[in-house]
Amino acid sequence: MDAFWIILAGLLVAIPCGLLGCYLILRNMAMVGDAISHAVLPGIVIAFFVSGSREPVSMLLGAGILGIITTFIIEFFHAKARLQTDAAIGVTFTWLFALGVILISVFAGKVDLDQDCVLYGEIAYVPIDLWITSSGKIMGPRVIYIMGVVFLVVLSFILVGYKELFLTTFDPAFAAASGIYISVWHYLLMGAVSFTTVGAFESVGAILVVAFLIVPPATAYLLTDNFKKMMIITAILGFMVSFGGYYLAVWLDGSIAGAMTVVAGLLFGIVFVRQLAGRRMSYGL
Amino acid sequence: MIHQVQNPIVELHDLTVSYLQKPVLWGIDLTLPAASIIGIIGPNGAGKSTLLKAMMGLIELSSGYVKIFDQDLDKVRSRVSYVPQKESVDWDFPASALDVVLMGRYGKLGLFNRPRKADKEVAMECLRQVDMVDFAKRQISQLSGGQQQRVFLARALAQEADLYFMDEPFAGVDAATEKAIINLMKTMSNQGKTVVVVHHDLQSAQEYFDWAVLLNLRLIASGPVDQVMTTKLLQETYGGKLTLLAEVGELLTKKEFPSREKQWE
Amino acid sequence: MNIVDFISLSDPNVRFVVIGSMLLAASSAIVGCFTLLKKKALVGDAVAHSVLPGVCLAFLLSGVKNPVFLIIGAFITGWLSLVLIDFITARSKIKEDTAIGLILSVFFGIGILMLTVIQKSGNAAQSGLDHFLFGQAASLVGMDLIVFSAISLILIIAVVICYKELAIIAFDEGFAQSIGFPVRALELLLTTLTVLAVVTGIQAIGVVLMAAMLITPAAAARFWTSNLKVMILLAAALGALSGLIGAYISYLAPAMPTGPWIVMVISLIAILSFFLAPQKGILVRWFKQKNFQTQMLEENILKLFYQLGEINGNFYTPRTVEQIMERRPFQDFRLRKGLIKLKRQGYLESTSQGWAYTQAGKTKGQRITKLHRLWELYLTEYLRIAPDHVHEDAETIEHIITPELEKRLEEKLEYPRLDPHQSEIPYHK
Repeated sequence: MDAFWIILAGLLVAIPCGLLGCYLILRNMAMVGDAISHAVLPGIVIAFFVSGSREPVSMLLGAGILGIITTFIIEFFHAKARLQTDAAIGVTFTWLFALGVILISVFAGKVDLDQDCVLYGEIAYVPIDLWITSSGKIMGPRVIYIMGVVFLVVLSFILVGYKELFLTTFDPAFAAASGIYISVWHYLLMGAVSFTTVGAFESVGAILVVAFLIVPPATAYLLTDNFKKMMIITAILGFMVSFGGYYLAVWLDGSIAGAMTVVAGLLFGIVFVRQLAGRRMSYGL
Repeated sequence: MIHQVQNPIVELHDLTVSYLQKPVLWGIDLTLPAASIIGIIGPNGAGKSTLLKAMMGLIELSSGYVKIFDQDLDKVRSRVSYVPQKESVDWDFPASALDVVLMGRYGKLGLFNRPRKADKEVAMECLRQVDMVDFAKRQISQLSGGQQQRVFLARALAQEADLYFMDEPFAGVDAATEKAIINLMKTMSNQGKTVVVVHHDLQSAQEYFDWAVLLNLRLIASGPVDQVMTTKLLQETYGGKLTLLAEVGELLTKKEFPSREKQWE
Repeated sequence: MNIVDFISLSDPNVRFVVIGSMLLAASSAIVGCFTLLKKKALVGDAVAHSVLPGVCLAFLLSGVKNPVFLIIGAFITGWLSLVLIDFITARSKIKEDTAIGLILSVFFGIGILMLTVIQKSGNAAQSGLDHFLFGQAASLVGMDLIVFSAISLILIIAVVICYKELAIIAFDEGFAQSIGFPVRALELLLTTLTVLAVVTGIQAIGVVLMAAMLITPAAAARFWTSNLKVMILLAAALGALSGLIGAYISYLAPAMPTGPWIVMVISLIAILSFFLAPQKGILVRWFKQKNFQTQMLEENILKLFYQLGEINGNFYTPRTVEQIMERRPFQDFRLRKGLIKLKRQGYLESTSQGWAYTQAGKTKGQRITKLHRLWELYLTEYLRIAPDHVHEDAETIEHIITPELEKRLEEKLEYPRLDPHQSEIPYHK
C-alpha cells in the first residue's frame, strides 16, 4: 500500500508539472521554471512559521505569491535595471533560495522543515503523513489531497486556456494582434507554475519539481510533432518515472526523488540516442 | 508628394514612435486608400516593421493616434489581420500546418470555445487558396520557407478580415510562392480588401503595388505607385541621411531624455 | 568569540576559513565576469549541480574523503555536463535553456541518489559529504584548504595570462574567429575555468547556490564600470567581501550554513548596486529624469516670459503668477517652486508687480524660443511634417539641443527669419 501512495503522489506531481513544462520549454522559459521552483522556498518557510503547521492553504498562498513576485523581480531587474535576462534569473532565484535556507536555520526547531527536505523532499513519508479530521477520522495521505487539488486546478486551467496558451506560446505578436492579452496569460502560466511547485515542494523537493517540469516534456518534444500528443506522452512518461523511480530507490535504498529524476534522465537518454541513430540512418539513405 | 485620401481605411495622425527614448518614426501623417495593395518601402532600419506594429497597436506610441475604418483598433480588431515576419516564430514548434491556420479562427472564438468543424472547413479552404491542402497535416518545421509563408498567409485568410498587414511576406520565398502570393493579393484587392505590405525590393514594387509609401524614419512620400516611385523621391528615401536628426535622436537615448514632455504629466 | 579575535585571525582555524572563503569567492567571481558577458550566466548553475555525482562517485570508488579525489570526480562530471548541454543543443531541436535545466536536474538527481545511498552504507568517513549541498566553510581544514586555494591561484593566474583572449571571445566570438584566434580552444579553456571555479567553491558555498558566486558579483560589478579590467577586480573584491562576511557569520553561529549567508551578502550588494550605481543605477536614472523635468519646467517658464514680451513689446515687464497661468497652465506649486529657483539662479527677479526677466534670463529665454522655432522649421522642411504637428516635438527637443547642434541647425537652415507659424526667430545680437 505504501508503494501505491508514493507512486500516486509522484504521478500527481509529475502530470501537472509536465503539462506546464510543455509550455515552459516551448517558450524558452525552462530556467524561469527552475528559478520559480527554488524561489518559493522563503514563502513556504514563512507560511510554516506564521501558521505554525503544515496547513496547506496558507502554504499554497504564501509560496504562490512569492512565485509571482519572483517573476516580477526578474522582469524588474531586466526592464528597469537593464540587467541581461539570464543574470536577472540567476541573481533572483539564488538570493531568494538563500533567504529560504537561512530562514530555516533561524527558525530551526520552530519549523518542521530541514535543508535536505527542501532539496529532495520526503516523498517516502507520504503514506504516514495522514490527514486526520477533527472528529478523528483518517482520510488517507495528506499530500495526495493537496496534489489532487493542484492536479485538478492545473488541468482545468489548461483545458480552459488551451487555445490562448497555445497561440501566445507559438506566436505572441499574432496573439496580441488578435486581441489576446499576452501578459495576462504569461502571469497566469507563471502563477500556475508557482502553485504547482509549492504543492509539490514539500513532498518531492526542489530538484524533482525541476526535473518533472523539464525532463519529461523535453523527452516528449523529441518524440512527437504534435502538441497534444506531446502533453499526453509527457503524462505517460510521468507515470513511468514515478513507477520506475520508486522501485529503483527501493532497490538501491536511496532517495526516491533522486531515483525518479534518474529514471527521467534515463528515458530522455534513450530517446535522444535513438533520435541520433535515426538521423544517421536517414542521412545514410 | 504625400497624397492624403478621402475616407481612408487607415489614418495615422502625428504618429511618433520611440525606442529607448530615440524616435524611430517622427511625426507620421498618413492616410491609406481602401481596396488596394499598398507597399511600405524603405531601406533597412527605416522603421517599416515598426510602422506596421504601431498600426496594429503592438507597440506604444510616443504621440499621435491610429484610426482604422475611422475607429479605434480595439473596436475593429476582428476585421484586421496581421502577418508577422516569418522569422519571428520558432518553426520547430510541435504544430501542423492546419493547427497554425486554425489559430486564425481563435480571435473570433473567444475564451472557452474550441474550434468547431466549421472552423476546420474554413481553415482547409484557406489552405486550398494558397495551394497547401496536401500539406495540412505536415509538421511546420518540415515545410520549405515558401511553404511556411503560405501557411502564414492562410492563417491570415482564415481571419476573414478586411484589412491585412503583412511584414516582409516575400522575404526568403521561392519565385513560385512569390507569384502565388501576389496573385492572391490581387484577388483580395479585387474583392474590396486592403493589403498593406512591408517590402524592400524596388524592382518588383512598381509591378506589385497600387500605392506606395516611402519611409525612412519620416514619411517621404505616399501616393499612387507611378507618381511616388520617382528617382528623386527614391534618392531621398535611400540616400541623404539626416545627420542632425540622427544626432538629436542619439542624444535623447544617451541622456535618457523623455521623448515627450507630457509623458510625465 | 568576538570580532577582534576574528579580524586578527589569531586562531589558525579562523585564518584558514576566512582566507579560504575569500579566495574561493574571488576566483569564481573573476571567471563569472566572462560567462556573464558571454550571456551564459546560467551555465554555471548547471555545472554547480553537476559536480555532485562526481564528488559522490569519487567517494564511492576511493572510500575516503580525500579532496584531490573529490575534485577530480567533480571536475569530470562538471565538465561532462557542459559537453552534454552543447551536444544536446547541437544535435536536436531542444533549445539551450531547456538543455541546461535538463542536465542540471538529472545530474543533481543522480548525485542525490548516490549521496543517500552512501549515507545509508554505514561508511563512517562519509559524514560531512552533505556539506557539499549548502556549503560549510568551517569544514574547510588543512589539506582541503591547501588544495582548494592552489586551484584558485591557478585559476587567477590562467585568467591573467589569457586575459586578452578570454575578453575577446566573451565580447565577439565571430570577430575572434575571423582574426585567427583558436576559438574552440579558448571556449574549452573558459569551460574548464568555469568548472574549476565551481569545484573550488562548492565546499564553502554548496552546489545549490554556487551559481550565485559566478553570476552575482559579476552582475553587481557590471553596474559600476564599463571597463572589463575594473569589472573583474571589482567583482573579485565584492566576492571576497561577501566570503569574509559569510565566514564571520558562520563563525559566530556555527549552526548557520555558510553558503546561503555568502550568497545573501553578495545578493544584497548586487541589489544595492542595481539601485545606487552611478550612471546605470535605477535611482540615479530616476533622479536624472527628475532633473530633466525641473530643467524643462524652468526653461519653459523663461520661454513663456519671452513670448509674453513679444506680445507687448517689452521683455522686462513684470508678470504675476496669474498672468503666467493664463498663458500656459502649469501646476501651481511647481510653477512657484520654479520661479523661486530661477530667481536664485539670477534669471528672474521678483518685484512688487510680479516676476521679471533679468538680462541673463532674457538671453536664456530667447535661446529656448529660438531653438523651438528652428526645430519646428527643420521638421517641416526636412521631415515634411505638417506645421500643425511640429510643436509638440519641438517642446522636447528645444531642451536638449547642445550649442554645437544649435550652430549646425542655424547653418543648415541658413539663419531663417520666420518659423512655420510665421513667428520671428530671435537671434542673439
